Amino acid sequence: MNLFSFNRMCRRAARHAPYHPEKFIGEYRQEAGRARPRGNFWPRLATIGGTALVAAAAVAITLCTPLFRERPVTVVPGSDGSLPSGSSSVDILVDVPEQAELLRLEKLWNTLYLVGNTYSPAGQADPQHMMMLLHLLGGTAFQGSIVQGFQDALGDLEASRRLGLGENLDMDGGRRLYCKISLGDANRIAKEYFVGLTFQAEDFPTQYVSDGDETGQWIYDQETDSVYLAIGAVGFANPYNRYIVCQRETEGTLIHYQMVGVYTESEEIQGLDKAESFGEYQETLARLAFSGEAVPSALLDVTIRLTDNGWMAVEEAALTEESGNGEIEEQAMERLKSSSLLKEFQWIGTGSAEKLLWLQDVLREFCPVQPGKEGWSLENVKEDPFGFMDAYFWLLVDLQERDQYLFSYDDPDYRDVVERLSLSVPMSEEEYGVKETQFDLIYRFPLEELNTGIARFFQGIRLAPEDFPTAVPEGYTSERAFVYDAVTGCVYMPCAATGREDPQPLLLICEEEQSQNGRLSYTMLGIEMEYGNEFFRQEDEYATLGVSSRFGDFQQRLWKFAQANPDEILYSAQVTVETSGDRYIIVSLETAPLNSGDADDLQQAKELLEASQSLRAAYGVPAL
Amino acid sequence: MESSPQRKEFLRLYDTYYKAVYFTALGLVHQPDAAEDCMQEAFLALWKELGKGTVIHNPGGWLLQVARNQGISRLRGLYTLTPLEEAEELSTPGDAATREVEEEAFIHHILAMLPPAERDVFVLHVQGGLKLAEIAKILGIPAATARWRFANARKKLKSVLRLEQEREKGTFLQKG
Repeated sequence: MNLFSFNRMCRRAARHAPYHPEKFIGEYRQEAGRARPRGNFWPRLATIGGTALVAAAAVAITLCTPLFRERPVTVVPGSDGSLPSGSSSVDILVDVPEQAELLRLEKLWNTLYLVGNTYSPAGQADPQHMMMLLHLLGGTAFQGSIVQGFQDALGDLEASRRLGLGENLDMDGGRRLYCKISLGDANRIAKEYFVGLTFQAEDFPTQYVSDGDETGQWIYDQETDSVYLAIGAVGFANPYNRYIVCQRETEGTLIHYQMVGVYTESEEIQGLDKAESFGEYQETLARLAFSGEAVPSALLDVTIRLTDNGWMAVEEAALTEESGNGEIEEQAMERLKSSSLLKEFQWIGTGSAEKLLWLQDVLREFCPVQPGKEGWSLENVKEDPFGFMDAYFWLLVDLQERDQYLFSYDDPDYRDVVERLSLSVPMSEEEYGVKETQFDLIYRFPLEELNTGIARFFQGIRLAPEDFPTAVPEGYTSERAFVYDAVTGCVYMPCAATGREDPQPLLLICEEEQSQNGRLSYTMLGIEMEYGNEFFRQEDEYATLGVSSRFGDFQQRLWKFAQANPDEILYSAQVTVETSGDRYIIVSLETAPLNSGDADDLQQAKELLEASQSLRAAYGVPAL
Repeated sequence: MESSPQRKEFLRLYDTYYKAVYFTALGLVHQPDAAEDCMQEAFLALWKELGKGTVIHNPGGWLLQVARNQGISRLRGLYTLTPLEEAEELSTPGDAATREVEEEAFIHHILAMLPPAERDVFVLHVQGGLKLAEIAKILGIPAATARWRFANARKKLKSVLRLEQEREKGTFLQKG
């Protein structure tokens, strides 16, 4: 076992860490208490106090009683149905009928979470609408087509098996099918509320594969021509009272979006009405923070990933940018297969321009194109800000490689700039006395020089000061940000103090190959520049964090193709673009037999190895 | 504090630190049930403190310390523990639980070879899911030190794993 595998094992073990916050609180609120599954904690905890056993039971019964859901509803804080604006918690009434459900979502949407982005049925292209629609579908399906609720023992077990959930339907760790809605019904609703939006079977995965903590995953079942919502049995498992909403904060010129989960915190029955109080929780796998125009495409990514097979890992790396834990590999290693398409790609370019053209082709072919947009290209980079920012980031890194632009802690202007730009990087007097850092490193790029560099790569693109925010708001959590300082005329790129502080993409090389149990794997080495310009090597799952999110998309697309080619034996593939120096493009491959015979496996492994060697040779990386 | 800000804060802290607390405890007591007890005790203590309105400035560090204290109490003989290596025998051979236990035992075995300071950083980062900067804050060490310890831990683990692999190969050849 190498370190890479060991890390994976550690993280696999980490998934088994007990997690019962809601149970904790629920139990705390129950004076009588229930027996803890094991150990002696819960009985002790139950003795502490708490009240709402009956209420909790009522909540559970209420949520699972269709009859109740069909009752008419009156809006509680106001006859007009208005909601408290700007609050971090919501008091709204739950309505069950389809139309009322939609209205509720609309209120939630318009009033609280998307101020300024008015809900519109014509906004079908907006991924946020799609996301809401999926939840709407969940609520709708809940009424009449429950496959399996908490109270059910088995539900549609056959469908569960077909869709990859197996029989793991226990309360403490399994996933279960919750809602079922025919594709036709889904489209009927979509047509009614979202002009022109049509779901197709291909929009959904056909197997449940992710074991992350996502809210739910829609899976398409060909046999029944239906989509099912599979959700975790842990925590807030009821899709009816659990939503993902997009919380928007504006500060200065920066718009900060964050995915927030909303769950039912308390309920109050008033006659035939039910008032429901919502609390928030952190949707850790769907957190994102991007500035300005980058948001729509990012949200589209989130939406797709929420409804797609295996996106969670990529999403986590790409959008939260906080994983630092190699979830990409962990997921990919488990599920990635190959396709002939992979081998047909022209991995190798000969220069920066050619590589960018290649990148353009890849992005056009594999990345989701925003509605109404042509897709990413060198000519319209601003049409896809998200993709552009990636490329832009590479450019900055490319410039930084010349050691010109690092804004050092020793720089006498450091404190002034940090304060001006609200970067929150207080430095202490002592050498290691950093008390608090929101951002760990800061890169500085004179705008004019930056534009000179950009001109080398992007036709007709010239950045102006107003293209940048002028301050980083408090709490900004993205891995990196771009800020313009009018005083110095420089663009600053602070990088968050995460486990992967250094924004330089790693140079990945294949250090060694290993063959074990018929599996050929390569150990990738990342080379990164540590502080003080010392290079050190680490074989590291962080390597893929150097991959742009767009390449996360790319990777995912490969994955999808792989699933369509079950006979292929490529087990994992990672593509990394190294942007420093001569811009390496490195492919990391791992193969595994899929009952296709050792000879074929070895032949393919050999081909892959040769491809890797060719790639290395093309870029001057020493051969294995 | 059923619907109070403290409750929300508790949930936030739970989400953030439950893995770190659990694996820190597991590193001490070497037994999942006991580690879970330690974890729950730590969060119970946190719950009480938040309920009293206490402001905890470094909740991560505070939780870890409580969990450690709990673990130490157990190690002093207040509770009977079943080490991971022995817990393996309690499971049915070949089932998923056995594999998990085996893996946990292996992880424990490997991590035990690291110096405690480096092991702490590695566990908190890899298993606890915390960022290095946050770990630095929790442990009260400079961020650069946390990074350095993590890098060192990785280097050492690589050597340890390689030796372990060679040892296994040697055992296999001897049996063959």
